[in-house]
Amino acid sequence: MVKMPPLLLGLTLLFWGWEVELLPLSAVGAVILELPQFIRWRWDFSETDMNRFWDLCYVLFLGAIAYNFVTTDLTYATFKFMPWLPLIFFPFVAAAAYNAEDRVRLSTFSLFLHRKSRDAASAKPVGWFVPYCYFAICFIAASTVNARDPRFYAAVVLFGAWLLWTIRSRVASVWVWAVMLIVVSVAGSGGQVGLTELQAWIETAATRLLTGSDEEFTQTRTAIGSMGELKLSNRIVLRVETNGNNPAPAHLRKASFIFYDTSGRKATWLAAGTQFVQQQPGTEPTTWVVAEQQPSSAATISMPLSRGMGILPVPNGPCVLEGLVAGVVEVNRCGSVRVREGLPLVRYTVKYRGVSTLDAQPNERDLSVPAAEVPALAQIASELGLAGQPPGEVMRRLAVFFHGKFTYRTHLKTAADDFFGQTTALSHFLLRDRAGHCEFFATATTLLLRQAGIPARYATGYAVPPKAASAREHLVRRRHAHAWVLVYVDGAWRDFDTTPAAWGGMEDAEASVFQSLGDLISSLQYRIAFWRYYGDRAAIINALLWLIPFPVIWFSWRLFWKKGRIRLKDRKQRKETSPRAGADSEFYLIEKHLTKAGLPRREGESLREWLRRLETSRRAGVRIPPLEEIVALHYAYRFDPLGITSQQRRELKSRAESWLKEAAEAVVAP
Amino acid sequence: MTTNHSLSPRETYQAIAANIEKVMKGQATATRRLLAAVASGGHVLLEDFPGTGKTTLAKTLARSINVQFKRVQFTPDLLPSDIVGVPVFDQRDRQFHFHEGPVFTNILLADEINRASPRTQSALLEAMAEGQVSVEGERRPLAELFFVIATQNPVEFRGTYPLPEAQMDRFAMQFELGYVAAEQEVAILTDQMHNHPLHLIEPCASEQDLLRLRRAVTEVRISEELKRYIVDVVAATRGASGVQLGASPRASLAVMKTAQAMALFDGSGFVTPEHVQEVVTPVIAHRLVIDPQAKFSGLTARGVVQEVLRRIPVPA
Repeated sequence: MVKMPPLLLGLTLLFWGWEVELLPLSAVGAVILELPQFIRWRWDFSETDMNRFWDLCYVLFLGAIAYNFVTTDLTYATFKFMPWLPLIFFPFVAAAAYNAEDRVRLSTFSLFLHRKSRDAASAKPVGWFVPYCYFAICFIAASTVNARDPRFYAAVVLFGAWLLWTIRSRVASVWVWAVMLIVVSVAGSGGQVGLTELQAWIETAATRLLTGSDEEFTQTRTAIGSMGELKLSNRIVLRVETNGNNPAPAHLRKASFIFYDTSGRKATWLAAGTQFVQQQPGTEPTTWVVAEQQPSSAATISMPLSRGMGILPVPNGPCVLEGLVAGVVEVNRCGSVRVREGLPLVRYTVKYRGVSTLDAQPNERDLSVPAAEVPALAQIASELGLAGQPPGEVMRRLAVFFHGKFTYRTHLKTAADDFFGQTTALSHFLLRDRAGHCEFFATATTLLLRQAGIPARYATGYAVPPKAASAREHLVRRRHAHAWVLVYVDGAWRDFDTTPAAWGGMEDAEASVFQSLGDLISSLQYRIAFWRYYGDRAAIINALLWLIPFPVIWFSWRLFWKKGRIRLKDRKQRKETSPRAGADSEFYLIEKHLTKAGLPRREGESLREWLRRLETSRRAGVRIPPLEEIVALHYAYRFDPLGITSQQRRELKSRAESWLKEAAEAVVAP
Repeated sequence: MTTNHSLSPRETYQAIAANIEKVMKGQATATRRLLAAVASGGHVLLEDFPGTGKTTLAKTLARSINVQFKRVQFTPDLLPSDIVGVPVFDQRDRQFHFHEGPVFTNILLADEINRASPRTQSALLEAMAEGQVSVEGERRPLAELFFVIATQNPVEFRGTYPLPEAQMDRFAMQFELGYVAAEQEVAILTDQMHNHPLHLIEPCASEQDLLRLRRAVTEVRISEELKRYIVDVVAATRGASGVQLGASPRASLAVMKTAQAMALFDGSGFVTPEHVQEVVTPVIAHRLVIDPQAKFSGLTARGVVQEVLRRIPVPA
């Protein structure tokens, strides 16, 4: 591989500085990197020194990642430190540029190979490799800050072309090279635009796929009508804290539904009016008022949020959400609160009243009952004598009815005689089986209330279990997902739950033996996340900033003082060890002339070998005046330690000059 | 030509080269290399197929110089005592007398050296390195002018004991003669129709001439820059890919000395980069140990050296 063309690396660094708006700093860096092209002195770094320089950069790199992790949220700004990469690796690149030995061993880049670097296999010198990598790093870093600006791609093409120009194949003509370059850059430009669009498309598609197309709050598919055991995991999904001994809300609602649809294989509840309305934050940026009413209680809820977006479970009648760090908070008329651009762990204190004004006012839809269910519902309603009773009495009778005559069961059965679908699953539940899970109870209660002329809705969310004696918070698990009823009484929506109270205990008994272990892990994860997102951030950052100098000082001490390995070879000393006598020989003018004429000397080719090669060009018709005597004089001047006499020196000069003159004429008259 | 009057160092070279040319047609390069080794005090290993004139070249050189010449044909049953000599009991004075072996000479032709056992080989190689032999605990110095030309068939041939790398390193140069051009082969046939030209050769230089030549070689000047170039080239063979063992500092020394000899042959008082490049391959290549895998994929020691020469910038 050839050496990088001069100035390219420095200009690349400047470009990076321009992009990240660190122009003065990058200018200093660029000068430092390009200076070795013009000065002769070098540092004499040993292999170990280079290893240490690399280690230093590595420590800086890890430090940047750690700092990034502590100070920012990984979901949004994973690569916040990326623009700093050129700065991080600068020490090593600069050391390589000033190293007397023009190579770096591959083993330097691996901490494990440092010790083994004596092995021939791991010690391949790859000096050319460093500037090229740094070139790439500068562009990667610049790319992370550039926002859709064509100048970045233009710079990539320009600098890339510059680099490729120096290593292009001499076989093909320049025009072929240029055309190919243009084709590639146009294709690359197209690909870049296409890639952006592809990414946008994939992102929307993935969002649709992963969130199930907003299904969570527009409809809920129940298990009514299916068979088998209902299984839900013990994973902790929410943690609910209350102030002192205040009771926790019994239910945390995520959504409410109006239409009961039995047309599918499974019965489904559908919502209406699910358009979300964005809320403005209150006095504090983390305070969000969702309903204008006086709160009576408060609870603090923590939950993980995947991709910063989700429905927040809230008690009935939420008024204010406090301490909620989020970009957007929205509510809809079904009582759902949605958050976007939230932290991966959301934590909010919700002040609530217990009766909701947030939900839409009732209308005739809240009284509709599917025709298929009417016979069973009417039979029960008449059995209980619900007609004409005030809402309070209806609710009391329903509660007694369900608590007394029904049992809770997660095992789902269908009527044996329901093979032809003559009775619905719900009527089977109401009239015969009288056992089921919360969805049955909630659905039946909703429809019975409607049958009795009281507006009701089907609500889903979580039931908050009582907390363990020693615990600080209520742990709401996946299996605490619950369905209940919203009933409109006295001008507000209230929770009404007819599922036998035994259900929580029953499910607890089935809890897995691994639950405590799972809880421990979950609790640990929660603590770490909590520390990350709600810990005293400033204190951590300060501590870290104070800690950073120590490894750097320690490292520098090891690197420069302890071993005392680095010796500065100044110009004078270098001249003594490796003199270059006769560097002012006029022969170099001739060499330059011939190089310009397209007859350059190869790197490992001695002058006389070159002359022999020139001889063949001469035979081919190129006019080159004879050079042998000049070379002989030049050699004596250069390689004879005794030197040449002043007369010979003059002769060398005059002969070279006359040769150049002759050659110039030869070019004029070919 | 007679040796009554002393020759200048360069004349010595020219005279011997001309003499050899009479016998060895078309081998000017090999002759030049051989004489460079002689003049710089190194030993030479000729490696080529049978019948290419290795032995003839050695014999011609020996005959051209008016010095003692011995020849040992190496065979598998040759013993170290056959080379260095053996103490013999004299019945008359009832004492042991050392019977000097063929190594006590000025020019020794060790023919087919790789056919002898390693033990015997090392006896000779010790003598080459130290300039002396130790027999029965007694040191016996060899002649001041002691020069070994060893020949060997290519290593892959049957019935050979390849020389270990440590011993290859003792030879200043290794090169082959190669087949000559057809016209030159015709000339060889013509020459040898009646009489081998070897028998017509007369010595053209004395031992003193040769020693003077050697001293003159050490006086050829070489710049620090070229010394550095030699060291760079030799060092580069150590890190080259496919090379298990690179060339030693002894190789650097041999490159410098033979380059000095070449400069003297050219009538130059100082070494030029061409002289260095000229000797690098025959001096370094045989010392490299090529990785078997790389060898299998076609890498040769000579290829490595030439690549290094191409890569390392030559001072100009």
